[in-house]
Amino acid sequence: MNAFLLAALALVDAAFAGFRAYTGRDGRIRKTRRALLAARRGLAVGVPGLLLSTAVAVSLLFGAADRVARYAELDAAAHRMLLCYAPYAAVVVLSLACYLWGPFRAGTLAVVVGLGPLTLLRPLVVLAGALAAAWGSLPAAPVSAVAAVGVLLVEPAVHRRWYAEPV
Amino acid sequence: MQLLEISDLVVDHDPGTRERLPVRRGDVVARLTAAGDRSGARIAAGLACDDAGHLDPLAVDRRLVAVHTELQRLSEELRLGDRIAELLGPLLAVIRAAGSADGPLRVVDVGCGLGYLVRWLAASGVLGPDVDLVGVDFNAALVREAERLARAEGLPCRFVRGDAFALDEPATVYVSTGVLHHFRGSDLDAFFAAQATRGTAAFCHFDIAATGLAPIGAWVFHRARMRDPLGRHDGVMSARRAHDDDTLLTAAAHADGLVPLMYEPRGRSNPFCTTLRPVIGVRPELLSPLRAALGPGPSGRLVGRADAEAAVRREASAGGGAG
Repeated sequence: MNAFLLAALALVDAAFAGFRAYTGRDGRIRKTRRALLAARRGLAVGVPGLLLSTAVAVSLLFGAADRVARYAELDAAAHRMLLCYAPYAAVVVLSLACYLWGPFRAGTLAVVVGLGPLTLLRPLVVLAGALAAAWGSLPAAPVSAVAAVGVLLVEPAVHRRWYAEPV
Repeated sequence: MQLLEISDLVVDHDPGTRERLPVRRGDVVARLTAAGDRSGARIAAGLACDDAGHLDPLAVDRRLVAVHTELQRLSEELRLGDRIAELLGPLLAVIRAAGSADGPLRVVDVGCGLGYLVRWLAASGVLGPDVDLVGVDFNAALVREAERLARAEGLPCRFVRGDAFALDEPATVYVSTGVLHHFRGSDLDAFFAAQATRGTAAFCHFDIAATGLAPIGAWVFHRARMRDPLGRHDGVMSARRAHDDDTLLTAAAHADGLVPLMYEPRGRSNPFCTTLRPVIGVRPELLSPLRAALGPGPSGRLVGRADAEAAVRREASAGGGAG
């Protein structure tokens, strides 16, 4: 269950990373369709990273002498990772809801206090989650490291591939 | 320490002919260094130039267009369009009702850059189809890009390169966003004085609210949202250069015949919710109708100098007595 929740979070994050890679590159006013395309590009770049970390986890699982114990260890690591990411995700969702559906002054508050600083904090939160997963569990370290690198690379990769210049 | 924005230094025009003048990279770096701005000097030192040391105008234009495109993201996120529409809608309704405009209603965006505000107003149609939307800027590259973007979306607005206060057709309302902090002292007074023309019913200029939080907020926001170091540098400088309410009200009083007011001044707004706020000028006869059109909540956020408002009330009551 923990692993599935983490995978879902990673996919949502990848879509947002694609969107962020696109923002600031298109001066047009109406661009919902292009923003959605950017989110899909983020997903497309994020999925291989997710599959790679899954493959590392599966190989560690099947390579273990005691698979039940290894599964429990990896699941506990995923749980620790989730504990780091869940509060961050909750604040992001709250800020986004306020931005999208609140009056524009509340929207400004959501950006100034929430979404802006949260974007800056995101790499640190990703690394903190990876460290928490690896804490005291050597087999979880490569999985969390691959997952964290995969998550952090989505935005620069999409930006470099599709949005290096204004569109 | 003198606060300088790199984008102000890398483009120069002949004031008479408006022809672009060459800019020496060494001069830009020297000015920033003299101002104690080492990070700004490093960014300027990285700009492309020719063998004679002059900045490559095409590279500068490309960079400025890219930075302004990134900057537009901030306007979008901070809902600048909604903020301006909240004021311009009632203001134009009052001007329409009073018949104050000579000819069609015209909103002119001074120093429009990529024309985000004008294009947003055109796309939303929030001001009505009878309003002529014009963006004016001295920078030819930005005006070209604004025109291209407007054409790409078929928006009913236009852009002019030149002096916004010397157009053939008068503006009913002058607007701007993020322009005021570029003017200091007598230049700021002159900026407002130039708007006191016969055909002008009002002005509404938005700029960064000068609060203690503004430079920190600008740093966080530009760090999180902008990629270009030049844009990040200038964004933080803009917040540090922002004028306080009193300076703006004093300068705005140079627009003869227009009552200067602040909307959401410091002390009447939450700095986390109001990162930009406007200084407004209106013809005295429009002030009461504007307050009525805004409604009790927003009208309470519109504050002028007590003496200027009292003079308007005296004039209004004298006019009422005579009538």
